[in-house]
Amino acid sequence: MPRDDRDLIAASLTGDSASFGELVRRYQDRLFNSVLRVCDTAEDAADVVQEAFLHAYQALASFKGDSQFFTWIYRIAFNTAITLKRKQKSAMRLNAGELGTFEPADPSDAADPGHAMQSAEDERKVHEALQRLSPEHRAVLVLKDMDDMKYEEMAEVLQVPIGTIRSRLHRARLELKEILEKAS
Amino acid sequence: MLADRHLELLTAFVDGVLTGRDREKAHRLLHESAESRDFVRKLQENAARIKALPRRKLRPEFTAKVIAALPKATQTAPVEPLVKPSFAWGKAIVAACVMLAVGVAAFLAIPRPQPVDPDNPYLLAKNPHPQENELPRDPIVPIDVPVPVVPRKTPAVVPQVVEGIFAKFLEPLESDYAERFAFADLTKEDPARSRLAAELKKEDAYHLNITAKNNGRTLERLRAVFDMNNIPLTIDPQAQANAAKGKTFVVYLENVKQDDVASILRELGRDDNQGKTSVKSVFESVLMTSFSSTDRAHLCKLLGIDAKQLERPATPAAKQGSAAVAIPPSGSASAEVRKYLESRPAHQPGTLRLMIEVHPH
Repeated sequence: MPRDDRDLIAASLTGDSASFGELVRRYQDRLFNSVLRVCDTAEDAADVVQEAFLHAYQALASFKGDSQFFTWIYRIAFNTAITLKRKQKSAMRLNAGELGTFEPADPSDAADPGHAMQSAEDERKVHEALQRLSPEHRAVLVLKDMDDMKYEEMAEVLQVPIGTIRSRLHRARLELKEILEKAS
Repeated sequence: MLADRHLELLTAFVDGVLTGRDREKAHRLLHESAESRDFVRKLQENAARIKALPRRKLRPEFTAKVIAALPKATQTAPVEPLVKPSFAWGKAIVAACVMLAVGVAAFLAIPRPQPVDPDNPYLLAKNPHPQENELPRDPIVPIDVPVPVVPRKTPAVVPQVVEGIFAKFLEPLESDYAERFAFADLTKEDPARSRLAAELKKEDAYHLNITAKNNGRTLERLRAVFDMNNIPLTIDPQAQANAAKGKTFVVYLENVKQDDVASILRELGRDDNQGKTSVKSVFESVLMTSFSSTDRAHLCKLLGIDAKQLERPATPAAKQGSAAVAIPPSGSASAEVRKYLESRPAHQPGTLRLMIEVHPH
């Protein structure tokens, strides 16, 4: 039976790094996929995820379980990612070369190169459009559409009121629509 | 061009967070406006495209790298001096003197705080864990982690969403405080009947949203049922055209008794006897909500009258009884509607008023 997050946290606090490793394994990919769409590149996203886990480990004693561990680690990761994006804003690094790191993920693509190209093209368009949004707008879209989070959970992750989530999502959706329409 | 408030309503609709009246408003807007449907469709498509973005996995070594970095994470990084030592010493001495002076002054001038009572529950409850969930703000440590691509079947979400969107807002409406009835249940001895009777006693005006299959005869059938209950129905030509084409139309009915409303709804659920043939009822379900101030304002706009005139006709007809008018959802000032407004009877206390929206599909 898989161990509960609380058990793993308790064990981690006693110095059992293997338990913390289990927490990392449990959430790293989900976190990475979300952060990937907030960051420009997969390398940045991996850095952010690693940094988030290290921060979480340092602050683990202060985690009292009022929120879920997953929400907490998301909060740290998104905060780190948004901070990173702000720092990088002056030097936009988005180009076709970096998007090349995103290979088609669908196995059927191998049998259907046409479909693979179309998927990769669509991913590139959506990713580019997301990159043109502010980090805050990007974050709400990713949390809502990729992670299926509720407004309440998003408010907890991003540490803003629910009303702000709603208005950010509204503006983000309008902006994304406009960008994608222009792109097509 | 959709108004900002409509755009906000529709984005919230896409997020699936609307309930009650707002959800109903969104449905109404989607029924009435092709532009709103197009807007929602695009937002749904974009959301689906984000959802369909391929998922990837970090390499298994990633976990080991994090674990290996853990001891370092607990170490405190050395703090670099911000100024040269020679300047730092001089400034530090000055700063220490200033702080000492301020500290002595504060000690003498500021009253001592009372000792904290460790058993004071208020103080404990106020901030039990001051360090809890604080976000670390250290800079990012760069690492070199190659990210492999992990195959994943990309779901074909977009077409499903596009296909499903129209069916979605033609579904029977749901509301936190509304009552919904299936017409089929009202035609037989069913608990729905007594529930309807109880519901009709709660308010003096209701907003009914009726969904019906489109056979071009919804308005005709409604008029036949009204006739059976001696309710004259004035029909605006545009509303008739809408009904014939399977589009939404609105009926305002006033001075109708509770029993008559129950009878009308029951009758609408029965088979439609067209001469020798009998056709199964096209009316599917009715969502009943109270007649809100928004509904009132909307109805006034459709009829081109103000709220006072809605409550009390300027020149009420001498005759008593119920009266109804069918209008398009965009409103009308046609000769038929004007004639109806001029011949409206005065409001009879104890009777009901209904704003009925019929949505054929």
